[in-house]
Amino acid sequence: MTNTDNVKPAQVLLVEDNEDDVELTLEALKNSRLRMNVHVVPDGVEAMKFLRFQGEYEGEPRPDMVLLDLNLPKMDGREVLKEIREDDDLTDLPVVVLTTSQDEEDICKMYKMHANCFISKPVDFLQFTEIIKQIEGFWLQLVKLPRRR
Amino acid sequence: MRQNLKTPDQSQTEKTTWIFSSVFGIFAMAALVILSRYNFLLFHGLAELFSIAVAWAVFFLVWNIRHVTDAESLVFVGIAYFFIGIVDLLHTLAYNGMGVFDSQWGANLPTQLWILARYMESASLILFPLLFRKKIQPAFIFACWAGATVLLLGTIFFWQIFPDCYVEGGGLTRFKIISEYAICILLGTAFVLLYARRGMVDPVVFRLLAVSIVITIGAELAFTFYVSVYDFSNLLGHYFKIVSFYLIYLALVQSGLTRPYQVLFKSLKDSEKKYQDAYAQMEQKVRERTSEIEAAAHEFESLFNSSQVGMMVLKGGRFFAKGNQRLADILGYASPEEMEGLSMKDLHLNENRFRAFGEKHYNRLHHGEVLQVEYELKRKDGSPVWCSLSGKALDINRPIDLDRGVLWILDDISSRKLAEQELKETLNKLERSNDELAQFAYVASHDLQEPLRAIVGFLQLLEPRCAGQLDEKGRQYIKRSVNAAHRMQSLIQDLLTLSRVNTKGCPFESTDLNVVFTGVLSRLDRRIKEKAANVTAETFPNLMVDPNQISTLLEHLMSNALKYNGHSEPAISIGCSEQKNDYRFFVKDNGIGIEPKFYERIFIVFQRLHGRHEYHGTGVGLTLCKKIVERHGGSIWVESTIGRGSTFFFTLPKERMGK
Repeated sequence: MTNTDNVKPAQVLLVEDNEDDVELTLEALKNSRLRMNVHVVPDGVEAMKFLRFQGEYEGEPRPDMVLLDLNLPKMDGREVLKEIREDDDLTDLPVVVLTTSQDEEDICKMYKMHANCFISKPVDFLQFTEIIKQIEGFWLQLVKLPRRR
Repeated sequence: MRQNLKTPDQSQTEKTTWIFSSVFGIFAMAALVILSRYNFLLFHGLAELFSIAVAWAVFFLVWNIRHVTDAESLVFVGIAYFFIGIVDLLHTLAYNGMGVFDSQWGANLPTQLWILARYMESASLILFPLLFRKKIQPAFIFACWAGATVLLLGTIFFWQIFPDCYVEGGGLTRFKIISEYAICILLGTAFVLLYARRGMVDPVVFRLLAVSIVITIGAELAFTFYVSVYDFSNLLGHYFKIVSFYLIYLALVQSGLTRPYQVLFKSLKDSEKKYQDAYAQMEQKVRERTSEIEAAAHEFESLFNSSQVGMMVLKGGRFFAKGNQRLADILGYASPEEMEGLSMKDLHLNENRFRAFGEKHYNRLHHGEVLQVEYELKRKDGSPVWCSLSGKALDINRPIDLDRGVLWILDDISSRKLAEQELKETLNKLERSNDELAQFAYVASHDLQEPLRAIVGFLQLLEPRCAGQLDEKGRQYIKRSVNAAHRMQSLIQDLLTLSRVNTKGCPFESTDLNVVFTGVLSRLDRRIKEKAANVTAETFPNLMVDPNQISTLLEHLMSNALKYNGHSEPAISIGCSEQKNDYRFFVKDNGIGIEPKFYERIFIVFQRLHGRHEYHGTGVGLTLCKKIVERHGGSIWVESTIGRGSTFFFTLPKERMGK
């Protein structure tokens, strides 16, 4: 699977337990000009299973980008990021931390754990839409990422 | 013995001596008188020899006792009489008819020698009382007299400048006669001096000497009256001379030989008296000191026994030697007697602790320091008891020998320890609950944001979708719901900040507050310009602070000063003054002011003095300021006049303590 063909839809994994947030994020992504497949998992454990094509996720595509919330049940975003970075197959996967947290400590910590970027979700939906637009524009269109096998 | 110096034997001996010498003297005198009738030259020779013998006897006596006698002035006289004797001998030898010297000297020479001897005699008797109780060097005095005698004889024999006393044909010269009177006056002076100082000499010796001087004066007077060398007055003069010399001899014998015991006893008595006085004085002192020591000991003993702190003295390093009842009470013994002979090992909870205690603390005792520790000791029944211990070595010598004793003062501090423990636990609990509270506030605020986002998000999604179905009022409602949600978000944000002041604060660092203030100014730049406010600031010090929080603090205060200001020319001044322990900062404005009754209230969270339509804000700002100042160990307050402006003060300590 390659990312060079822009016709192919981009694969995005959204790790978010709050259904409202999922809904709002999906709404924001709808406005995108990009063809995109958004996969949603409700916790960290599921996210790792998805990324490793385990269990029910066998045959699912490998995502081009992960939108990761921090506060998750079972296994939180910090642990997910840690596992991704420690997994040889996943270590170069772009991970965007998308959270309500504005905590300095969280921000520092996530960057130290090699998050690709840290975004604080604004309350205002219009602002949020704008941010989502910029994320996909940047990560899915602008930047050159390593070729996928 | 002390009371009666003269023993009956002694007075007997004295009496015998007196009688013997008187009888001998009278016989000798009578013999001489008879002799003078037949051969005056022989009489003169014998009479003079007799006085010379006495003079030399005086000298030899004195010379031999010079080291032992305490009558040093008599030694002086004795030495003088040796040389007087020599001159008298020469006088005798030069006498007419003796034929020893060339006849050309005539009668002048014996007379000159006579006058010289008398001058020497009177001089020595004048000096005698002056030398009472003075230390003299016999050898030196001897040398002086010897030198003087040689010189004086030299004036007669060698230089021949001694005035003539007898001129052949003219008889006795004026010099001779005047000299006799002068000598009488000198002797009178000697007598007066002796009398004046009689208290310094033995009464018997005084009497003998006084009589001797008087008789010598008599002798001199006799010689002034004589007309012929052979007449009666001459005879009488010689008698007087012998008697006066003999009296000197007696005085010496009295003080140097016959009465040495008495003199000795007198000294002994004096010394004994002195010794007894000193002894009595010393005894008195010893008694006084003893009673002082006893009083002190008694004082110490009662202090020791009745003291409300435990006391014990250890001897031989670690053995109980003495203690008070309070000590026994603390350690669970019936009495201090019960503790006698205990080793300190028995007072420690176990042997390891005993050893560790010694290793840790005994070094300080060795250095003479007072050791103070809080330590758990073992009571008699084995239970532990918390004690405060103060120990000090009793040995005042260096190096300190602990075997000589160590004084320990101890007090039961279990109740204090218990209270301390409880306090510590309470504090811990409080800290934990504070932490939990902060954590709760943080999490709550954090989690509150998610539903808020959903509300705002869906409302904003709703708006375009249902635009057609909603009337103006419906659209207004959506708008107002979104605004309300935004306000709630600000509240949550502020609450988050507030809860983070203590939990998420940065460590204190040395900070140039001028730099912090410049940053605040630049952030408020736009609003300052909008309001056309005049901001004046003083120079700030460097302090150990959390720079972010101080920045927030200044920003809030400045921002308030700008916000609550309706003045046409808003003015804000900021400054700081150094106080004893801290710096006091102020932010002064000329704004709307605050009523005194609200001075406290404005610092309480969510308390607002104005409607939202007047001034925006959540009512958290000043609470945040207060929290920040308090975290730094300072305080914040306001002084204000309605309509004239407010001044916010806050202090920051110079020394950083606590967190």
